[in-house]
Amino acid sequence: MVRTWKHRFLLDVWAEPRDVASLPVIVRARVRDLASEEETYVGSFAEIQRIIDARLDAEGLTPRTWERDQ
Amino acid sequence: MVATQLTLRLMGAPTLLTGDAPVALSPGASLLCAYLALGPKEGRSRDVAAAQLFTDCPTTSARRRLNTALWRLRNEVRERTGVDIVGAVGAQRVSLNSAVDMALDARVFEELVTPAFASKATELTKEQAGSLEAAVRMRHGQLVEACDEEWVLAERARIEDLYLTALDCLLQYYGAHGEPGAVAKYGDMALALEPLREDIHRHLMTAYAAANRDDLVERQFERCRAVLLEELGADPLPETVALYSRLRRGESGPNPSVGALTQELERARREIARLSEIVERALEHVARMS
Repeated sequence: MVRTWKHRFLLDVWAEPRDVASLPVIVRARVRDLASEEETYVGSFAEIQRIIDARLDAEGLTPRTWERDQ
Repeated sequence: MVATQLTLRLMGAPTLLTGDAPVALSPGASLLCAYLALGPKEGRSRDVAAAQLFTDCPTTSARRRLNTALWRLRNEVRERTGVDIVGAVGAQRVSLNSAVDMALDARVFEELVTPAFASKATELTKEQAGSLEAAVRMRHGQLVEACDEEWVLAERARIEDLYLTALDCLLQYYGAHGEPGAVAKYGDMALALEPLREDIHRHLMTAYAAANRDDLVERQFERCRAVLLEELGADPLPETVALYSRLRRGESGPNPSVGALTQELERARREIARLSEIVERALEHVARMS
């Protein structure tokens, strides 16, 4: 069995248009896992990280660390 | 001899047509045709094309596969239409034959929608609205559907933005013309793509109010609230709540400042408190009677 080496996610990020110009725009995003076609809406980077971590956990890629977290 | 009129449909699964009849092409030939059609007029670099289309192959193998794919595309189209669709192939670049009369749906779509975007949505002419409707009818799916390779993503996102803007304009236009059925049709199409876009929910609420359909304003706000809660665990933005409150009172238009927004929300809170008191008294009344 060939192990999947690349995990692809499509990330759409948008800023919600505001009716009141002086208010900060609200950033929202949608993460699509291209392996499962599952889509998840998120409101923070932490949620994006959790989705990617869950996928890598499911692939058995543990223990692991990001390059710059070492 | 009459020249064959070809159309390449890319908004959906890539399909080459002669007149209205699809030309049966293999999936690989269809995809290569789409790739070349979306490239610059001067063509694409062979090395880049090989790398983008055959990402899993070493360079020499990818170039060989590109040559085979070009040969197959040329032969398949020539056999079925008599047209030589692949351009004069040089050593460095590859393109579709610029001498072939071929319409590309994505370009026609863009030409139809762009002029209308210069006008305010509620002030579109009937002709401009007609152009937008003709454009949105052209979409049979995402650009080069079922392909998520990097070469298509940027162009797909750009076309989707135009499509969503066209739908947004149409729902506002039909709201201003008092046609709630058309508002719902284009609103549903927009929200099928972007269910969390609150500005579209707000435009729908405003359009329904303009068409004197308070029941639909109510329903739209509830849909907005429910989808945000379910998908994001969030409440609607303050201006969405304030707009709903204003429309319920028969007023229209957005709140242009933080002060006006706060005032509107305070007013809604007082109204809810008043309703809460009435409900409390009604419950006490029922309790006394039973």
